[in-house]
Amino acid sequence: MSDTILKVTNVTKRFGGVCALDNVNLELKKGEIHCLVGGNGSGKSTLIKIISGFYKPDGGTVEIDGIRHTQKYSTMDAIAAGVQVIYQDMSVFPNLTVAENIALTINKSENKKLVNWKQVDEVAQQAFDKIGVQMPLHELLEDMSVADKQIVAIARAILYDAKLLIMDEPTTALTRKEIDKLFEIVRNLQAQGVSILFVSHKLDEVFEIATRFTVLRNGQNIITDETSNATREKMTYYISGRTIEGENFHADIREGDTPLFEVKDLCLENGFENISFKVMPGEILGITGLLGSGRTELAMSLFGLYPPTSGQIFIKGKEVKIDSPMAALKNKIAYVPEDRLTEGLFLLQSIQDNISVANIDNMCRKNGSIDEELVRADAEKWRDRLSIKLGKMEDAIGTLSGGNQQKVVLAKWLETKPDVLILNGPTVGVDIGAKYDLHARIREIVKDRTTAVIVISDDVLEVIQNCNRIIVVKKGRITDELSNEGLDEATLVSVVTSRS
Amino acid sequence: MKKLLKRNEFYVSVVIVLLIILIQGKSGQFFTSNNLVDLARSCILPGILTLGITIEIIAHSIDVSFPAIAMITMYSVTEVATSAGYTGPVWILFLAAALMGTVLGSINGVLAAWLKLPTLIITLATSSIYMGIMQGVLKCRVIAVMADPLERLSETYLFVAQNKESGLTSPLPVLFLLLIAVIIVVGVMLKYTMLGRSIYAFGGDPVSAQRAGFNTVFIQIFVFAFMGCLAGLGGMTRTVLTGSCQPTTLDGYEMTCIAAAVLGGTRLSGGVGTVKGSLLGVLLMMIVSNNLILLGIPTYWSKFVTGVFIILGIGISSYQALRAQRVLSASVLETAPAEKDAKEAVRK
Amino acid sequence: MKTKLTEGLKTRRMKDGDMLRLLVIFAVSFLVMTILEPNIFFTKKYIVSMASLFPEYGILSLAMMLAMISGGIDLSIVATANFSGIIAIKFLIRFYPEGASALTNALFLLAVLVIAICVGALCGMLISFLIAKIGIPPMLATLGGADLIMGASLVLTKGSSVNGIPAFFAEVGTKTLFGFLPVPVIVFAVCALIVSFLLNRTSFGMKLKMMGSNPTASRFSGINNGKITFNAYVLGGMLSAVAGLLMISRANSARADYGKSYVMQTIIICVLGGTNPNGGFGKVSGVTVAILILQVLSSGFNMFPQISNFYRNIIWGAVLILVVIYNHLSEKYRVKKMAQAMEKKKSESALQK
Repeated sequence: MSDTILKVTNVTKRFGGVCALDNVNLELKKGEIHCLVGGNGSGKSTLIKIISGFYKPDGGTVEIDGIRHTQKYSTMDAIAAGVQVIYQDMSVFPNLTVAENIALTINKSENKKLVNWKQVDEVAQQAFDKIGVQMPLHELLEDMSVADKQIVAIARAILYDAKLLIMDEPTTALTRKEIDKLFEIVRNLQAQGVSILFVSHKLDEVFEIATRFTVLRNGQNIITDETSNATREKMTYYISGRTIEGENFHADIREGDTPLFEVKDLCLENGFENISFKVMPGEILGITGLLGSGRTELAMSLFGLYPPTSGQIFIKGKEVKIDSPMAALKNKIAYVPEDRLTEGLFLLQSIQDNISVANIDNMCRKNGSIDEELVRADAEKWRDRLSIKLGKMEDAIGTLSGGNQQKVVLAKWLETKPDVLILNGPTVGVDIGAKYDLHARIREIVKDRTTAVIVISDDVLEVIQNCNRIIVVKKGRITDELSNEGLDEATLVSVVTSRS
Repeated sequence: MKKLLKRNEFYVSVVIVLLIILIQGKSGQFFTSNNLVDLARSCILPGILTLGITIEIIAHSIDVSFPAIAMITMYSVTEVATSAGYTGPVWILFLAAALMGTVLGSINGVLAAWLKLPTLIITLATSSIYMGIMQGVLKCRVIAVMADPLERLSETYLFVAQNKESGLTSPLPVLFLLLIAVIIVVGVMLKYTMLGRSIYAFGGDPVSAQRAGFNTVFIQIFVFAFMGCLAGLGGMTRTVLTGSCQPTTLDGYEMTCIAAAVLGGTRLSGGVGTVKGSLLGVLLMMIVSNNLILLGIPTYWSKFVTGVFIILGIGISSYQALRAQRVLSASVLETAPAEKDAKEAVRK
Repeated sequence: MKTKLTEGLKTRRMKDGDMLRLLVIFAVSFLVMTILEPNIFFTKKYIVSMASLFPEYGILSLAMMLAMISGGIDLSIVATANFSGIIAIKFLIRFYPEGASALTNALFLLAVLVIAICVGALCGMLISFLIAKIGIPPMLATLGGADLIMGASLVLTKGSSVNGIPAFFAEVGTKTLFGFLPVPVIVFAVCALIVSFLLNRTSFGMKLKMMGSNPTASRFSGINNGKITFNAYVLGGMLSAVAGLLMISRANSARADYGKSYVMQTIIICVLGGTNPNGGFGKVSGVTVAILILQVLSSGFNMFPQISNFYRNIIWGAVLILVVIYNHLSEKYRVKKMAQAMEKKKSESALQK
């Protein structure tokens, strides 16, 4: 009886002409917590879907607990073999109670026709006992936090006597405290003999919870090793294939300049408190912190989405009141949001429309009609200046790649000639090449010393490389301010994650 | 307590109580036996239909064709029975109407599930088609004197209430039992059968429901078919209660039922709805439309007043939801909520 | 990436190919009708009578289209039409002097128009308030609003028709300009041109379609969603009011419940004309051609005495379903083609690496 629970051998998977996985190997020992690491497009999601039977590999084999699975391996087979996957969207029912969410699927799979509510409660309680957590059984899931929903998803998975639990980016939306709780559950499960495969790109978690890790890049194995052997620098190199190159951004700050943007004692109920900072001409200010630290709330508040409850905002020395996104636009504040697909872009509309929408009121003639030629000329100007790769201006923006889409969002805001440009997670979901491209553009913007640029990000590397000054936010308050001069990643990470 | 305030049922109950107090206070007539019986009688038809639409709304589907289904089945069955001089048991006629309604409803269901077409538009279209068939192809007419069994049923009562003062009598038709039966069937189905729970699951998150192994195509077809069945029964009920067959009698009835369901807490976005809530909604609508006259308000005000209530009822819960979205719910400062929730809140 | 793309393309964009197809359908139907009944169909009298009905629901369709582009739907257009008309007509009946001159007629006509449009705008304001400030979904807001507005009409008319309309008003509906263009058609043309200009050439039109496409992104882009919604429904209300006047003029009386079937017809017309019920897309030209097609088809059926009016309902319904099915299938095909093209591009660039 071997001690290997999962053995993936030489698995290859193609989609059309693209090779998503190229002879990939993965091995998990029983009772191990293993982390699958890789950036966007590395193939880790595809690999998970093959292990769970959602995709069929074009080559190679999947072996679970010694049983080699055939080409007919389906999701039902995977479940029967003891594999449970918890995807990022968790597949829970917000309108049902905790207990029913846990018991429903297993009752369904046992083909029950009637519902016994007492049994539902018992089943749910059993699951909670197994993972060592207690939760109110009769609360509706929609009233609960993302972290709690995840615990319910885990409880549900555990009912199936899972031998291998796969979790896809489980910590993306969790706070530090919630991550601790999750890891406690995970260790608990490990103690009961469940093996766990974690998919993540967050290095801290990899080091904290996993015994071994495997790095994928471009669909290929890069390395598999014990976490004790890894360092942050090595990991960054494994994942991206490159070390920190190029110079960190250096700002040309002159004496006597008025701040382009200043915030004094800004407060938002339940959001943040006493936030004060300045942005001088030529600077790029970075704001970083863990998820749930208040950094996104701050960004949204500065754009009027959650108007601040008290405090002052000054643009080029003049005080302004930002009580709505319309007011923000009027005062020439621009916000590039983190989720471009739902917040930044109109996927079905044309590229040209996406670029011109924020500034459209300024493109009208006296009689109210839009100056089509001017709009077109401007759109083409941005296409060239930002090197956006597109077919025709009339094409739907859904046809562009992630990096080019983000460039369009940037163009939309640059069109408004903003005084303040706030970028939240500007390179999320963007491939490496486009990432550096976007960074270069952002650096160019501050050259004319008329626009304040603020980059908000949880990508520590991004912030160090592109911001001359970095503010750290924790629990809605500014806790540290650092210069990027001589700052290395490890130091910044420890400042961000320290409990102070 | 806070949770109680959030639920529509609470508000509807409060409004009902207030209205009753008002009406009783002004006219002293609300709690008379014949008024109560009239009220109960007026709830039979909307009760049956509203439970049907409630199930559909839970399953994230909207249906405006059920009055048309009710009318065409009602007309067809009555016409055939009357011209053939039918003298058999009356429940067979009801069965026939239910079957016909089920078939017509299934058509809606198939179009919605297989072709994934938007339900509002499909049911608008089928509504038009069925009415057109009834009025054009079948050349419907008013049937004043119906087949014997139907005529007899319309005179069968559970009991007759008599208002001792005014001498007015109000019979409670035996079909009231049909309403009770439908309530029991729907109630049990929704709460105690896997089928019912699957409807809630589907309405809550169709993708997750499919992943969990539920047959989502069947669920969609079922809710429309079931509504069709209830519509058929409803149509026959209408005929029996009014004593004659008037083919266009339910025109525009869909709004009354949808409003009653939504007032009772059924969420348009799907996944939420109860039998109790919808029945309260029906009760409120019926009190408003029937008893206004006791407050001295002439009948031609009735539609306007009903409209006001609908807007108020839907408006209150919509507004609460809107307000909740505009503020940060949990505090970053203390327990740090998940950012995803905060961002999902800025949807409007 | 693949699923995001397919989701992103799940809608129908009005392209030149679609317009061409509509025109072809129109031409074919027209020809078919002409061939079947050449004596009746192609006569001036017939074309004039055919043209008399469509302006009413043509203008209503424009109102419905605005609501659809904004991402909603307006089920209250007919109620607003009747209500505005009733108020304006009651004013007319009350104040119109006997034996007035042509100038007085013109003045009163203008007054009636202004009053109706104002009332229509008010109805639109109410609806947009419910949608934007209270947060009621458009379907429910307009369904409930329709009840409210129609209820108000019932209160005003106590359920009966309003008669005794001065003769000149009804004549407006039958007058023709240049001997063959009925005034209602001209009214429709003016409305269509105005709406087309607003949609295609102004920032309002652009913001409307963007908001309809993605209300979150539009808020995040600094667009005032509430104001755009307001404008869309107020404009719709004004258009409905104009349609209401046309209806009253033709019927020579006003009622609270005219044109109940129009709501569904306008939805068919909009969908057939390329308006996406989910929002973001719609063209006046498409709607216009769709109206002509349906008008030709239904008048065609009118000519055959064996087929009663009620068959029209069946046709409307069937056409709607067929159109939606067609949209759905052509969309699946289009998405498939797009995905294939994307795969090809990806593999080409991968090979280049």
